[in-house]
Amino acid sequence: MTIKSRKVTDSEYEITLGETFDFNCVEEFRTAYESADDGGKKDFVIDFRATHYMDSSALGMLINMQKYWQERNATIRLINTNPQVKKIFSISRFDKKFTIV
Amino acid sequence: MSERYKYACLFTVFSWLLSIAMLLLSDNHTLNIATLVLCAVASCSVLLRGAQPPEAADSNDSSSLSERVSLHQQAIGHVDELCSHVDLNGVSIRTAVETNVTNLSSSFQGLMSKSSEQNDAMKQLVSRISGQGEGAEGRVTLEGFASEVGRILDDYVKLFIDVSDKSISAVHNIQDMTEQFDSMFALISEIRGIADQTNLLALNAAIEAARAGEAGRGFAVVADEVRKLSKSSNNLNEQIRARAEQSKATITRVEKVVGEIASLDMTIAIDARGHLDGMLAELEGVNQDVTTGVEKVAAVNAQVQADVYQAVTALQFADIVGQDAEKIRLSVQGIKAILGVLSEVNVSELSPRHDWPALKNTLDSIFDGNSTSDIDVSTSGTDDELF
Repeated sequence: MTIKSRKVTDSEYEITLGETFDFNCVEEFRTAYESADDGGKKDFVIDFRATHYMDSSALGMLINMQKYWQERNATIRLINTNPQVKKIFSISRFDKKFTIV
Repeated sequence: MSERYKYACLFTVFSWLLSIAMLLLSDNHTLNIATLVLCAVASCSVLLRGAQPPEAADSNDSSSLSERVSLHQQAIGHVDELCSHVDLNGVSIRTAVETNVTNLSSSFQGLMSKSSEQNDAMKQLVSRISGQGEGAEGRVTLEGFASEVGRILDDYVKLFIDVSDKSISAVHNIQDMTEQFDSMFALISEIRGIADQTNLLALNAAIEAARAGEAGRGFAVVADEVRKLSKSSNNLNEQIRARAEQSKATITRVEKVVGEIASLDMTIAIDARGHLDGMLAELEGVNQDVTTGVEKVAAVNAQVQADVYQAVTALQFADIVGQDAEKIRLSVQGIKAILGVLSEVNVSELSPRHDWPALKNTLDSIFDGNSTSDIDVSTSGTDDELF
């Protein structure tokens, strides 16, 4: 398991990614955010501290996550992004769709 | 002829030469006129000394009057010739100055119009590059081009994010479908279990039928048929499982392909965006440089125009030089006329009849005629010696 998820509080949920965030993580990532669904409001924190590579499927995964939680009233924060990752988010205008710290 | 007279003559010639040189080289108006006055005084003094009968000759020398008169006439002739030269020089100074001033003026006008053309060309260049000014609409500028490329790149990035989004969505559906397949396999296994149980039941039934002997013969046939049915059910079940396995394998391959579509390396886009940002910065630098350069050129142009204006103003010296040359000519003409009178005075000494009042009138009229000149010849003081 390269993706670790943990419940911090009732609403706050933390997903820590592995070194790479690409197509191989699709199933794991989906499981991580869908398994948190207990009908309540959720505040997700996705931690990129270990991630040094991601491709476009990562963007697709994040958009799919956002779509999944869109009607369930959730917030998604992307934290500890390294410069390369931050640049990808900036070029793909993700900084307007997500809160990137 | 005495040594003193010779030196006086040399001094006169030298002073005329000096005067001409001053006129050509100096623009000091007062100094030029002073030199001219000096020349006039020197000339008259020489002429008067020549006209006076030398005392030494009167007392000691035995030269005849006619020889003296002819000597005077010769001197007058030389001075007259020098005056003609000065007159001609005055004319050529004036002509040369006028011609060259005209040429200079037209050169300066050309310079001005070229400089203003240059200014216009620079302005046009700037408006072309910056895309401002007349007729700029619809024209491609460097900045416009760069922002268009940026927009295309953004569209491209948006497109592959969209593709990735849809692909991941498809992959989720495929994974859901795979899960369905897995539950189908469980169901198939259950059916197989039922068939196996049915087979066992049929076997038991056949055994019980054999134990019953002849009475169970019919039942044994039924049990056998049930066994056959359970076997063919198992057979069908196996076929379904095989097909389902194939489908699952196919779907897994589709998932892999969709995954490849979804996974694009973002490095290319990052590099492209980086290059574009670099180019935009570079372009901004180029624009800045062009603007600075044009400003410099405009400043230089303004300076050139100011210099040309100054030069054109300075050309007015030509008028002064022309006027001065004309004054010299007038003065020289006056001197020539005086020489005429002197000549007549000289010749009159030979004849017994001296009409001095008539000659004095002529001399006066010469001064009246020359009174327009700035140089007041009548105050030179030499006339008192003569009359």
